[in-house]
Amino acid sequence: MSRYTRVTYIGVMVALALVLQLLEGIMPLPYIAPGVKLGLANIISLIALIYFGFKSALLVVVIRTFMAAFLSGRVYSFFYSGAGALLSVLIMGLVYWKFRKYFSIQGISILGAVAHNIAQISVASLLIDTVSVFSYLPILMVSGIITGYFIGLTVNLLRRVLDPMLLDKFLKPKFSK
Amino acid sequence: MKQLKFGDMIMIALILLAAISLFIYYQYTNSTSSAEQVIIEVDGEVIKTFDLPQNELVQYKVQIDEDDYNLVEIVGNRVRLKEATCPDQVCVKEGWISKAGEALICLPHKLVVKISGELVEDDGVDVKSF
Repeated sequence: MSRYTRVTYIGVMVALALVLQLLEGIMPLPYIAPGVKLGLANIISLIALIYFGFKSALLVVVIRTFMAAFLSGRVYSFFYSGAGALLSVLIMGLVYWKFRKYFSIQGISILGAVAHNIAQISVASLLIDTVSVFSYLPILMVSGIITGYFIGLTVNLLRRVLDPMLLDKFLKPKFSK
Repeated sequence: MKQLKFGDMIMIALILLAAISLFIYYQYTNSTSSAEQVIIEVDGEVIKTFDLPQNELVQYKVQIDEDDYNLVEIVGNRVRLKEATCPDQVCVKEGWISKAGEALICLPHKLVVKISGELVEDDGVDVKSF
């Protein structure tokens, strides 16, 4: 895959992730607790990780978080959602790279979601200087398992379409079928 | 590839275990409370406390800066943020809290309204109230 192909795909993935993230922000979803969300943008992080490798996934996540903060105008949310996204992609990358044999995509997605929530809560507690936010962690962990599982399922469905499109053309298979 | 693998099961079990133990820990530490208070903190500093229960409706406006405020409402044993000028309104959507250990948090304003069992002294920080 040439540099230009890679840059193009990263751009496309950033755009997709941004749209998903902003769409999720305006979707009327039932309110459960602060921080409970679908994590639709994680679909793109996982796709980037699977087809383009860790470095590209990291780039997509960093650029997406930056741009989402500026587009939504909520710069304060940049710190904690950025920390969540970063830790999540680091952990998913590590697990995908080293322990792929033992985990399915759903499992990796769940790990990413829970890591996201833990980082987010930690940064929030640092920002407002209180530990009471940690009382939300149990519900966030359970919601992370549920949403992470379905995001993983979605990625598996997408792979059925993307595999024949992407693998033959320029990409070396980065995973075992 | 579609099915959950062995590692997934272990991981989900561990996360659930951690979540349940954390939940029990919070429930346990909160059930030992006696005198309940509402504590209002901004940026980690206690700015105002109220004893619970309040017999009359109490409305307390926390002024964050010139334009921004959060309106705390206390009725009986229940507390909520009635109004806020923060962009996401997460704190307002949370609704009422009534148990010790529960908290309403407004991240953009660095505001925490929590119900505590322990007695925390009002440390006399300058209170800007209306």
